[in-house]
Amino acid sequence: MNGISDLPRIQDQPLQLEPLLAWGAHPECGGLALFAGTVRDHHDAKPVLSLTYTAYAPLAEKQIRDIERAVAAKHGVPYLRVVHRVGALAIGEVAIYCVARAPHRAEAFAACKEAVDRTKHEVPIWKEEFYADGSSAFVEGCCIRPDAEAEATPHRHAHAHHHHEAHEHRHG
Amino acid sequence: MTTITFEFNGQLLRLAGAATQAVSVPAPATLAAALDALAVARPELAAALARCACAIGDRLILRRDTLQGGETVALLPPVAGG
Repeated sequence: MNGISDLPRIQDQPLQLEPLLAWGAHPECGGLALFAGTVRDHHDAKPVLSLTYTAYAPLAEKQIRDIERAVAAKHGVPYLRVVHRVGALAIGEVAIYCVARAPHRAEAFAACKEAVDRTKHEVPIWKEEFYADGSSAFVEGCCIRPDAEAEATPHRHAHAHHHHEAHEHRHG
Repeated sequence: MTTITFEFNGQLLRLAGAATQAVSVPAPATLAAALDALAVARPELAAALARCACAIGDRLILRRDTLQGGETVALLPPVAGG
């Protein structure tokens, strides 16, 4: 394949879209679906000033590649890439890009959505939000234990995310 | 006895106020036993551990898996990427 198959999926610098598009490759593809997730300025009713994303990179890199392979195979998509930013992000900055290229749009849209959903639910990446009132909190989503007991994971695969950790704290 | 080093990530870093915590366990020990030792050493983390996945390098490990000793185990709390 082309050289970008080896690009890091977890990146600590502003994400570059152009290299992800793979123009010039895949002439069999007539559809390109793109998702960009950007940092929004609120959580529920609370103004958000900035975010910090952190990742456990050794596993996150492998899992994103596994998701790309599995979702691409499921939908018959020749090209699928997900990259996720880590570090301190300002409002409006891009946190995630997903690009799917397929012969037709239906598979491209489906693969793009599934790859983003799985990345958010399965990959060890954490989001800490910093609020206008000086406090911060982690947005708690999905438990990723493969051997989770049902009672220990009431939110597993629930789609109502954005539970906050009980623990909040203030800065300066 | 041998040492298992737990590495904190995400919200656990805040809860723990440190990057790592080492515990002593009889070798070989299951991951479950090492986590029990961690809960004793850091009771303020005990409630959060049930919802943490554990990894060594790029591999998720299970509670029943055996540790030989000397491993660094990453604790991965519930995720919220995107």
